[in-house]
Amino acid sequence: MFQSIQFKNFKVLREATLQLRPFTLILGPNGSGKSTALQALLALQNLNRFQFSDVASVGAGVVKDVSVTIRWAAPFSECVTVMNWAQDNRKALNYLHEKNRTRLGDEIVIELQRILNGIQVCAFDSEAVIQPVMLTPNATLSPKGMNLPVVLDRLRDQWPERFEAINKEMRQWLPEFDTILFDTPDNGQRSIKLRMKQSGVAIAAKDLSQGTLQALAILTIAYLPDPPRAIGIEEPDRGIHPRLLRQVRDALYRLSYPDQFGEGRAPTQVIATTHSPYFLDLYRDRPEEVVLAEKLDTGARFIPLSSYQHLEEILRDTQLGEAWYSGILGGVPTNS
Amino acid sequence: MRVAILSESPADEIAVRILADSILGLSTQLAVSHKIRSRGWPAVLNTLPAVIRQLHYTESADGLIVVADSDDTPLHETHHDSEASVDCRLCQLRKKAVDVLSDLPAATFKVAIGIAVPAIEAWYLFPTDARLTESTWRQHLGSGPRPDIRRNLKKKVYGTELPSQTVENQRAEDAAKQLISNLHLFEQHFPNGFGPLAQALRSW
Repeated sequence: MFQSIQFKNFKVLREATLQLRPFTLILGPNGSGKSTALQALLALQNLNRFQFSDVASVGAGVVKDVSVTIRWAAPFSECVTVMNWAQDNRKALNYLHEKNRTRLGDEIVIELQRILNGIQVCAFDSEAVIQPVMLTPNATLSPKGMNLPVVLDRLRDQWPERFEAINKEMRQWLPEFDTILFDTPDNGQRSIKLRMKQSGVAIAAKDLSQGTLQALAILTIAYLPDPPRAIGIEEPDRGIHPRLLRQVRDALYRLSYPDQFGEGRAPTQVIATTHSPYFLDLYRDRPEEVVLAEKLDTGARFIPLSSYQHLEEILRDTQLGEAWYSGILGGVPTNS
Repeated sequence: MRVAILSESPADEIAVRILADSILGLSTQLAVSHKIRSRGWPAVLNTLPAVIRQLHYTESADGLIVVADSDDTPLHETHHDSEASVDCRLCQLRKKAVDVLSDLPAATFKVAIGIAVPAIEAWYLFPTDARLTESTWRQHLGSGPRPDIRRNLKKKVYGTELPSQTVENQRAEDAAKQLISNLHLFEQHFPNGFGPLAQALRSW
């Protein structure tokens, strides 16, 4: 699990540190570095994904080097992972002891690499989610939500209790449906349908609403037996009715705090972004999980909500989402 | 002077600041790093305590100006000043501000509150069409809620019921500049909504 990510000259994040918890919700105006922070996680998997010119900050002086430094949480709290891009296109990814900056042993490096390689950054797209896909063993949900039918199919076959749990939860979220069905549009392909509770009619994925597909993708990730150790989710509330946001939060918490939900697996660190004051309202009692992204003249910064002095008092009789929207906490567009 | 403005829209803020500058006889600076926004009346009332506390604790503000529309609610009356009305929006805002400030004895900034009757567009319309004043609105209200008049008001002011934000901002600025050319007359016709705002600002 990550304790923090420190950015230097990484796109809009010239000089910024993102403090992370098992679950972190980032809010801020467009272009304030929320998605950029998630992109950095992908760079950790493959340094060659980005060239210097792709990541170097622009607009305020010449940038000679770019770096992203991950500080790990327990049990790796003495470790840092540092990515560097130099102007001459040299790149480096180093695993170091935090204190003396010497190289970590191979065993730990392999363990950290394994975690980094499993990171997933998702922005579910209904067009991807509805695609019929070829049945392939060990297929995972793609960042846009492709492969959902195959992942669900695998759950049904290999972890039927999890598949049933998804069905059960889906009935709570979307009571008009009672079960997930599969279709075989072509040989070896799978697509999904949802069966209407009253009529028994099965609705093809392509005819389901964007919010329904988003809900299904989030539920599926939440109930995976082996989810990634860290996951970034762009706007998990997108398309979902505000009254269902509590369920969305619960699903994400299932990933972050599995022991609280009777799951025996390791926690998944979740970093989510949102623009929804309603979603933010759900974190009124957990300000330590909220980070406000703030645009600056030549960059952006991250401010943990818990760092605000007198926060409790300021919010005594105002909803957190309302206070954020009002602008008094920052993390809002400056000119609108 | 550093002020914060809590109103219902960016256009309102533009107009209110021009009016306040004229009354105060100076050019105010915005005291907050982000413009304060609310989502309509209930949010103005609900956000006010948080805004006051935030200004007290983290911003160096000299004053807070609050302006909301009355919509179809009862108008503020002079006798409310001695006995507040629970239905009057000015009284509700004043009470909330006083309650919060009483918990912050060290707060040094002042608060000025006004209510646009029935909506701030009536203020914008006044320089060119003075038929809708607080007095005439009181008569309209006698026959019950009048959302139709308020909707027509928008059309009269903006030329459409669906003005863009840019159009609203420009109209607010133009109208406020016209209003300050004869604030005395304006205050005479909007004595119970704009009047308290003007009086409070003069006392700063």
